[in-house]
Amino acid sequence: MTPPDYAELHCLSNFSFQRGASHAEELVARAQALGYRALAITDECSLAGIVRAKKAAEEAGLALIVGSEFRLEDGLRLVLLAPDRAAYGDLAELITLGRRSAPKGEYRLTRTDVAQRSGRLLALWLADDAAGASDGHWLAACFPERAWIAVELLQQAGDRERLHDLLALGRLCGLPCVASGDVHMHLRSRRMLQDVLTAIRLGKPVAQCGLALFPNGERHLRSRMALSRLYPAELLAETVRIAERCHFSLKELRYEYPAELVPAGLSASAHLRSLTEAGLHRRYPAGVPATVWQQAHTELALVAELEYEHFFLTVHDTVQYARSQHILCQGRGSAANSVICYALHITEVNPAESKMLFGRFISKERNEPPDIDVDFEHERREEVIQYLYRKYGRDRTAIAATVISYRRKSALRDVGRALGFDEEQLAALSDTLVWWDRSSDLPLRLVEAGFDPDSHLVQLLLKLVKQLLGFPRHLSQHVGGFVFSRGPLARLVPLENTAMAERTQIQWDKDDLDHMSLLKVDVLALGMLSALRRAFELVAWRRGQPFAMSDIPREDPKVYEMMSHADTIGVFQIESRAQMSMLPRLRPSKFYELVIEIALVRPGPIQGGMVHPYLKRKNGEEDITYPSKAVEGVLSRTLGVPIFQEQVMELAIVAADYTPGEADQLRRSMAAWARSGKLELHREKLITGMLKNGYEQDFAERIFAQIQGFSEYGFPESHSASFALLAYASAWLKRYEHAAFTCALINSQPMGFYSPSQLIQDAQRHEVEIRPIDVQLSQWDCTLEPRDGLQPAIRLGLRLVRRLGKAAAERVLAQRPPQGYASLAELQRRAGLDRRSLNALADADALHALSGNRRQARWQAGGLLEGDDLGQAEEGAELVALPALREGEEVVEDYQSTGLTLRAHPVSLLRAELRAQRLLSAAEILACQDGQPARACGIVVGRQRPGTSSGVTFVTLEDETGNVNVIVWADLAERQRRELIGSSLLAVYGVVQREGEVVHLLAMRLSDRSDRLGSLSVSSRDFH
Amino acid sequence: MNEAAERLGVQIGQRRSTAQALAAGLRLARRQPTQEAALLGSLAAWAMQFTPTVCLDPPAGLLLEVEGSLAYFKGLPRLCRLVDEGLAEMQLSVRRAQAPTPLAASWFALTGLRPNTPAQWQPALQRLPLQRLPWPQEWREAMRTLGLRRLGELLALPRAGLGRRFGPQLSQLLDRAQGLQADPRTPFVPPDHFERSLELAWPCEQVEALGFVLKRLLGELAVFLLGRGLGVQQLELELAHEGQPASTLLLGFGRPTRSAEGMLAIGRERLARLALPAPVEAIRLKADILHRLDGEALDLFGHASSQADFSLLLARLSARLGQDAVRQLGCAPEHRPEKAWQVTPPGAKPPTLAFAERPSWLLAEPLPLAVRDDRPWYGEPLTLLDRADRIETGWWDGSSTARDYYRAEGPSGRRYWLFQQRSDFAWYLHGLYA
Repeated sequence: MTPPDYAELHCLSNFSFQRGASHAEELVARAQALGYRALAITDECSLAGIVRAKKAAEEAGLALIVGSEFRLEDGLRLVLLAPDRAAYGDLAELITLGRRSAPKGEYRLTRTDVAQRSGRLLALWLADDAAGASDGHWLAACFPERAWIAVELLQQAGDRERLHDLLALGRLCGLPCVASGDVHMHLRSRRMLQDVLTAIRLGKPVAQCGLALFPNGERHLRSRMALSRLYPAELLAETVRIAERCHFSLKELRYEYPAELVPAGLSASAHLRSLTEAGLHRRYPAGVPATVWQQAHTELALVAELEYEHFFLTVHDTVQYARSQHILCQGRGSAANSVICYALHITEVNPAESKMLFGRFISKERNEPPDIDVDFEHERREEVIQYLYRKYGRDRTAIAATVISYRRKSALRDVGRALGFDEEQLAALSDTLVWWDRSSDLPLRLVEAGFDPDSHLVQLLLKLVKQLLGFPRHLSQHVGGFVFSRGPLARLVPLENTAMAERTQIQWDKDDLDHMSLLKVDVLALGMLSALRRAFELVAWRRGQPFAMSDIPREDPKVYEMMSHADTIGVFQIESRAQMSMLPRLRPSKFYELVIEIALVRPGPIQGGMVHPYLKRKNGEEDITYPSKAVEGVLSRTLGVPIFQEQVMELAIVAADYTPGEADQLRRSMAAWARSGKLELHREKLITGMLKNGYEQDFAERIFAQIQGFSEYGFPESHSASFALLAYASAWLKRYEHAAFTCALINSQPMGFYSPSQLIQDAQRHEVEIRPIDVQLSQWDCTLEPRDGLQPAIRLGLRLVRRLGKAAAERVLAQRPPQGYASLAELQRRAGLDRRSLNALADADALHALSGNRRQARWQAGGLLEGDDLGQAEEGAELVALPALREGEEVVEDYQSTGLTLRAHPVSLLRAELRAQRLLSAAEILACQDGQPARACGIVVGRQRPGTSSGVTFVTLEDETGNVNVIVWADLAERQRRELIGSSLLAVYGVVQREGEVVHLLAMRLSDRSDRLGSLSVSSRDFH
Repeated sequence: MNEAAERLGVQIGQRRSTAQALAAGLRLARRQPTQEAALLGSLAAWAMQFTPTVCLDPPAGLLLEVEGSLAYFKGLPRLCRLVDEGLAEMQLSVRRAQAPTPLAASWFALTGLRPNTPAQWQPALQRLPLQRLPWPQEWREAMRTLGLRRLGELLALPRAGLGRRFGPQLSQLLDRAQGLQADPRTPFVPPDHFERSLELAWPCEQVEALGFVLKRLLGELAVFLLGRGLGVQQLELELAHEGQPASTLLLGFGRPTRSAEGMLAIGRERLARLALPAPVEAIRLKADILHRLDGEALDLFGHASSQADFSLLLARLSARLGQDAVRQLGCAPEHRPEKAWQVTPPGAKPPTLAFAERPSWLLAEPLPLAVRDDRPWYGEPLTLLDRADRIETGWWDGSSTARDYYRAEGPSGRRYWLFQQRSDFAWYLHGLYA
């Protein structure tokens, strides 16, 4: 007997958070395997998972129905399905309404809400045992000829009666019945996970969930044969009839750009052309080079053909606004490095100097919008966002979503709780996990936390954690991806509230938007831009004339010289330890080499093994060869080594016969590889393609390995070029305007890799004078104070004083007489300082001009505060016999109150003692020979375990002479975990590794010397 | 914190996560301030044998005003020895100091920095480290930031300036410690009954192990009684269980006693005969009536008026038959039939749950059924009346269930409740309909 046709019309994916126990991909694949005619994904008041389902359904060739499940305020439950585009709009609007009327994560809908949008949708009534005919009549009236009773027979006692009752109810209300499965998982075997999700939702252990759990695992995609034994044939046939009525496909969504950017009477295309041409004339006042003019028009033609004008116009408008407000910004992304973007001032990368071709990055085959991210000064991005809301209105503007998924810690905690593990034990386990631990370490960490890895429950825990990993938990807002539309956005995709009031987000994330070809403009925040703008202002002040990015001389050899010595603390992108250890080897000497440097020293290329071949070729130690002319065309600019994402795509095209569209698939797979494992699919295709074209197996394998390395971390050339501009600009500032540069970096904190303390030490090593915080002289920000003929000195600002509020500081500044405060009492009175602020200033030694040392300042401050309004306060200068501060104490208090000191480095105070133990300084380590045994001791200022380094931890030690870079291998790290994690002052016994200017200390033994620091607390910054 | 933890680098004041990262097997226990206070009370009662004026100096101090007792105890050295011996017997580690003012004595004891001779108490006072005095964190922090380390440095500062910065309380304390100002204290008045409870670190399943805990409580009782010359004739011991009512034991002694050993012997015997309904989580020891050791009770029970109601009946039944013998049946929220019912103590209110037609008689163990002609057989061929009621659950507690339940009927008209195991398709009888 052939099983009957069936379409599942009620199925939740795991985007019904804490309910659905399968990914949409799994559901689609299973429905396909079971020969279903169609599958509806009906997540509860959500379309967040629908794009994933669409992709999977398209790949599988299964008909997908878009729908959603609801529970109304009065308890009525129903599934709504979208038969066509208009109904889809109603559905999205209804979801938006429900979501927007409730706090984040919840929804609230009434019958009236549904009735107002019931004109086109199909409704399945999820009638419970208590259902009455009045509900049925209401449905039948709202959804004439479009409502059914869903009969869900789930192998529970009374199924037969239920079927009978529902059929009777249907006759009574004039509603036909249809079979459906209340599907929560693709396979029965997911029921454990489903129970766990229920427990997580209810916030108690599974064992206490009782009847809230489903009694059995029937809520999976059941075989048609099994269904045929349960349901009358008519009910199954009805599913197919409903499915056939649903001909809506998400492909029909036509996105329309906002209209207001084009002046009336002008076509978008003509408008963009005139803006571009005007821009070019501004860019090239001496005359636009013919090639550039030519290129611009090629690009414009392509843009016009693909109708992307609005995208460029939107970005242009946003950037235009920022420029009008003097907010520094810069675009990047594949389309950013085009002549158009250069002309529109979206980017500063001069395409005439770059080797990229725009046509490569928006291709006709790809049906997706070009990609431009715009970075803004991090402190002023909000102004830009508010502008966008004003310009497009709240119903047409929203932020993209980010799907927050289960990671190891969260999965472990939630499953652990559900299985009834002791909170204390789970906390112990969670604490034992460090971010750099690998998944495979989990059993080991379990043992450490006192779990028995062989026990049944722990086995269950591991198994369920593994299943739960990667499940979506909730939606959050994207860092800056804005979506605009011509009409109301809510008819395109549902909107919901975010944690921030006044912000709304759509239910789709970045990948969904890409797939649906929705315009997204990334309005991102970049700390370096804030710092650059500040530095330009300081330079302008010092030089007495305006100073902007364009005033920075290009290709200054001294700037490259500085980079080549890895003297790059604070320089954008090339300040990381990995970059600093590579700079002296790569020695960039022109802009394009800097572009390569930035892209090369990243996890992708490092993992793909590109670094060393490139290095050898650059230094002439290896011949530059190409397996073919075609490959040479792609790789010659990077000496035959693929470094950029674009090159990988091009290689696939020229060597393995990929179409540009397929190459783009490959790029996407690279990005999503770790998640989906899809890259493996490309392996076969790439390698056979290359073999067919006469490439060696070895070459093909190597290319594939490199592509694999790119996954997740590959850097596009265009991004790298934009970053290189900022890197060059910041390096130039560091080389020629170090004081302004450091001052601007500190004033833009938090940002970058280095703390103010480290930045200041670096500046001091470059002979910049740093002056202490002084309540008589400091501003809120750090400022420059002129010195004749020298780099100006930096006066530290009140912003560095911990526990001092900005408002109090501003009163201090506003009330300060030109000649300064006469006494502490005057300061306190005029600025109206409370105990906390006054103590904060005393702690930071900012009152030294008024009171001598910080102890006297505190004593005097204490006397002022308890005085009453009648000026009965103690007369200021009562000097009492307080013990004097030793230098070490001053240093400790400096760190505690401001995070830095201008006095002796704490390690220098211990130097005699350290020397007696033959512990060397950073400067001495730097002078050691390769292979020489050596020992060093310093404050731990960084601990890093990059994903690429197979378990190596990099530790940075700081002393008064500089930094020591320590390498700790995995086995030592495991053996001396306590010293590694717990030390603030660490002694390392090891061997020096030297390669040219790059010196590391390879650790053999670690020794915690933190007790020597006394109460000095210098917190390490762990960088990911 | 023990030595092993210290060796691994665990420190007081460390964050829990850091401590646990250092010592994976670290066991954390909460402090129990109520018990600490109770113990202090017991010790105060005990100390009354040395002087009528004992003052509590919480959280962990006792002040004994011994001036008047010195003659009776034949001098300070002997008195101190007696105190030390008594404390040693209780296996308590104690720091003791004496000084002319209660504050100074308390601070010396607290810091362990006693003067070498009583006459040198004032220089010793000057040397006391400020950070170790039982003062508000805020004060100590302020003193630290002023660079003040020892009490002498503080005393050297102008008193008015100190008052302005730390308030009048500090001045008062300093004056009292130096004996410049009187320091009146409220003497301890011992309670007229004894009640202590102890939470166990781990639920205890064996009565033998409870003996040790009981020993500790009885020791404390004995200390309490000793100081006041009292004894007890009856004790109530209450064992608390999680999710179960407590078990209560009455320990009676032939005559009033305060011998810890004697009470323990009887207690142990009673415990040994006790069957624990569940692991014990806490123990409470109560002595309401305290006797002078000549046998006279200090207090008497009042007679509560009796109510002839159901709860009294229950109470009486429980008293006669033992508490375990009186029970009530109810539903439990569980899908597995064998766990869908529960026995509760009388008077509890289990949920009322509607399960589809299930039999009221459930077999203690499902009975395997033979199959004849493809049909389950129980003395007669059984016909299934229903579709399967499928139960698949319970995977988390080791009794994972995957069964299809059916109502069935035999030619006799008897109705049965069967299930077929989904793993091996074997049939079982699980219940009978009335």
